[in-house]
Amino acid sequence: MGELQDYSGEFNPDLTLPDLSKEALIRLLVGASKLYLGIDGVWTAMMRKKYGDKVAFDYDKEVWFSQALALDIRRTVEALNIKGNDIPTLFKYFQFGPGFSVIYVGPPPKFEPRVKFELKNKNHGIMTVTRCNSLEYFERHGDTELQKLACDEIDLPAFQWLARHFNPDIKCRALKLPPRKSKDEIACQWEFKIKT
Amino acid sequence: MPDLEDYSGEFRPDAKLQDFSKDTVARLWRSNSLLYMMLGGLWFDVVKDKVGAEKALEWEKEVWLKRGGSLNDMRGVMEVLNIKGDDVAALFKTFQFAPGEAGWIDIECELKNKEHGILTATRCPALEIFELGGDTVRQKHACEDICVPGMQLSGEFINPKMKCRALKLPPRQSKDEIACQWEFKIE
Repeated sequence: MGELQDYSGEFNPDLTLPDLSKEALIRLLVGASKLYLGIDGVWTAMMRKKYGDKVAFDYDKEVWFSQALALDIRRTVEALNIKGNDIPTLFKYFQFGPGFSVIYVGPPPKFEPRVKFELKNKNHGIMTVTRCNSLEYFERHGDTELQKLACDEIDLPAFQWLARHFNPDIKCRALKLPPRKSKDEIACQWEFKIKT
Repeated sequence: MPDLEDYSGEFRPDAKLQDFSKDTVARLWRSNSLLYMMLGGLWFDVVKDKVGAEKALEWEKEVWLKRGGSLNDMRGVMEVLNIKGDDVAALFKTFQFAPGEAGWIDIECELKNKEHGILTATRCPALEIFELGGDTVRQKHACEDICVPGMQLSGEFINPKMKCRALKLPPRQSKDEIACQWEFKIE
């Protein structure tokens, strides 16, 4: 049996992941990663309705900073055997982080990455999010509160937290954050540096 | 360049998902599916700490049954794999690649005919965690309050005439037993 591009054919009780084409597997991976962030969105939206923005956002931060970020790193570096404590190592994790670069890709079959990485040297690099699904959602719905939560209150400390998890000497600085004036602008840009 | 089995080599600024082997993409899919299911558990823990177990249980149920949790899981797979149809075969095709089903639970699907089939979860990490911690309240809640109506919802999503019946549910006497078993039938 050749590789399946999709599962529009007959049900096969023995079908497993390797029977699918790589492109189909990547589509599944991107889908699972969207669900991962999506279930957080479902919980946050429900808590906003029940308790208001502040409580909901506080809970969301606690979810991520108490355990979720650490789990996110652990599972990704294990799955890809990523080791090290410099900026290239951190960027390798960011490139395939489930709640981050994996969902910020263009459509199949290219899955063009929308997070770009520029490594100045092993101790210094710039990460640019050229298009961000979450920001586009916030802009579309005019939800500035949720945008502020995601970008200022979660991403900013989260990137710093994640970087320090790899190396306590890494400093993270936002070079550009939303809101943006036009959709042609990048979403955000970050500098990571190890002071030597 | 050959497909990468992992990312232990040098950093490549232009690395893409397509650069990895199929095995590696599949490994990432399983890992991300597990993260997806665990994140809900982390939310449950935080809410339980803040407002108590009763509310946490109630809202966990709301997330999965009333706010689209269960159905989002199916919609995404059906879209990316172009799964269509309104029979039990279509449901099983979806379960075979749904992050909240085969993404983290070992399942077997036995199709008697297109309108009748048996789904067996031979291994469920959530059940194993509840058993390990002796958490019978959470186990009962997950299996009976969420999975039972959740499976029915999933069946109805494919075909409003589909009925789901639990043939076996936890608790189990031994770890050699299956986790749970479900019958789907279009009446």
